[in-house]
Amino acid sequence: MTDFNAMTEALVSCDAGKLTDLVNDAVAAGVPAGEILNKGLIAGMDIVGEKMENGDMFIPEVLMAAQAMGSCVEILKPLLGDDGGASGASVIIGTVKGDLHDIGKNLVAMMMESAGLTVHNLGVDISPESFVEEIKAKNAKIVCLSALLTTTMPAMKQTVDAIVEAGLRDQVKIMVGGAPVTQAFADEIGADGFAPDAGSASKMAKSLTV
Amino acid sequence: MASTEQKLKDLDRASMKIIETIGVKLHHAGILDIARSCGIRVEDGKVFFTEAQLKEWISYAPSTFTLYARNPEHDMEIGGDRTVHASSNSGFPFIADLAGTRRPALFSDYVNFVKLVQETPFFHINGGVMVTPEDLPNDEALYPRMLYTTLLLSDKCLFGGMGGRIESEMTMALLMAAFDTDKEGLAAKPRIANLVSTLSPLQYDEKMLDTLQVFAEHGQPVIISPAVMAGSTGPVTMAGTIALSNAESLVGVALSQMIRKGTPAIYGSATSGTDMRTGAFTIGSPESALAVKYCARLAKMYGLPCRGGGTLNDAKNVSVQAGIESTMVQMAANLEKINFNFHSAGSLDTYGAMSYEKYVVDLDILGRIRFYMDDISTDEDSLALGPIAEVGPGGQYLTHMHTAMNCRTAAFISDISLQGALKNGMDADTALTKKMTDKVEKMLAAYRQPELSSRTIAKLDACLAKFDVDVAALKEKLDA
Repeated sequence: MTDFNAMTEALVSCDAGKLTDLVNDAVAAGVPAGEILNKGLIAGMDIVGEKMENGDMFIPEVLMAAQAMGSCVEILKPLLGDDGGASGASVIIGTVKGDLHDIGKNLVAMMMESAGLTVHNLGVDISPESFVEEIKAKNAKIVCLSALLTTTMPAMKQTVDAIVEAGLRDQVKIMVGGAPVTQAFADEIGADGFAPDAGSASKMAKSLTV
Repeated sequence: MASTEQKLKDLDRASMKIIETIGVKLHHAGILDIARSCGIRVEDGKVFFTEAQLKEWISYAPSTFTLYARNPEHDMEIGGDRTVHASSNSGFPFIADLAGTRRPALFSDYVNFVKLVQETPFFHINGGVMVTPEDLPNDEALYPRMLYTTLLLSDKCLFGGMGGRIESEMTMALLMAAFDTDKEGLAAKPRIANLVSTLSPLQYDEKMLDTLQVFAEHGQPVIISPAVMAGSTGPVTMAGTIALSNAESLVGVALSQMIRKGTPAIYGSATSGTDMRTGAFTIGSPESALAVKYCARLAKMYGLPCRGGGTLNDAKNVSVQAGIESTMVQMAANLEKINFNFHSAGSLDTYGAMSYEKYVVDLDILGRIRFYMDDISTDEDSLALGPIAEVGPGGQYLTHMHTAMNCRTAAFISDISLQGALKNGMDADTALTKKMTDKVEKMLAAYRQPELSSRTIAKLDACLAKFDVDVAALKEKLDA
């Protein structure tokens, strides 16, 4: 009988070594990889997410847990189906044109990956055209736009407009975030969602793909 | 525990190692060429200074300089042990009300803050981007519109905008029109200071380097401003983060001198911590105060003028949190003799919003700290041995002439604090709020527009029109 609780506990305590052992043991015992992923790892990251929201886990600890999960997903990948184990939709995320800030955006990407989404992190200073190309190339269902500067917020609208012009608006949900961004701004530029922090961004992305 | 002097040496040693062996990435081919031509090692877009090179280049920056105002009464001497203050000025897109509810900032808010700064004796510098007005076009001329407005409404020194080459060149053109001078004339009498922010860790982006280049070419002061966040864009330990911030700031100062030797350059720091629970920048923290302390100490060790905050805080509204945090960081700045004390009034929420009420509360904080810094006098009148003898044991001083003669100057008089009994029927929150709003209204009512010749206004109009700005529409908005 596989002890999924032990896996979630190892994940929550950021014990990568123990988690890896437990996952390897489960695989050796013939537990289906998808079951390990969902009942052990993603369930553990859900607890991590809650603890982060409550202030019980600090960001660096959450990231260590995410890394531990990532290394275990690598073990499971060959055993999973064609989708490589990702149980969620394809997400592309990037900082908009003219803006080079990426810490918050990277945090959001990591949280989304930990939530089981397939995240393609495009980096910083991404033009509207590049976002459009990547939506097509990655068959994205969610596009996340980040900006830290008030001067680069207009590039978010330009990106939304470019997605509309490319005829891709019905294919994707668009989320926006960054220090100066608000729900009102998200509404104004025609985005589907705004999240004030990484944890809620990850939750929102999952809810938008349901 | 090592002495502060030893810690400064340790930080300097660490920063020199960073500069020599790790390098600072400059996203700007032109500035890299300038560095290369000055004999600096350039590899993979990064500059690597030897300690000797770095210290030679920063030595060309003046240790003190004057920023000139239209009204000479507001000229500012920056450096040494003097502290001059400047309002909060970070492109705030929002105005927060007393409950902390945000609304988009408007051009009318910008105008109000320019008027408030003009009316604030603590401040001799005005303008900049105290708020980013939602109702002005967000284009290259956004800041030039604000600079034009400031030139019309204020006769104090000037603060720069968001930066970038086009905006900075427009800025210089407006200043040459306003002061009827040319590039060298501007350099001889600097009129405007601007921030050059780093992209931590250890990078400068193209826009900021363009700003540095245009300002330095015109001899206008640049304020090199790393805002390293301990734990996210810098090491979680403050010593490492300060060493990183120091390295970034020194390289910026050196670059300013390579562009034009003698350019006034202020060694700055907006460095602070990160809240490890949320990842948020924390500027109202004790770490922020420590960063201010070491900014001042290091700059003075290098013989450079320094910039540091401020009534910094992470509070969402005018609250106990805002008071605690703002006072602590501001007190550190005054005690450490920060030269250019930036963000001294008005901001809330980690550079997120401006607040009218916070602005006047912060003036009160500045006032009480100045009172403390001015210290007591021990002259004969202050020692008051005469009155003490006359009153003798068991008497009282309220009715003594010495008290009547000195009662308006001997103690700090707060415009904000509730002192004495509350008036009948008024609760404490209402009474305190009323003091804040009354003060804002009083200052705005007292504002008088300084004179500016019609010839100068016409030149400014023509200059702004060249940038495709609808001057008539802007004036209409201003009059409204």
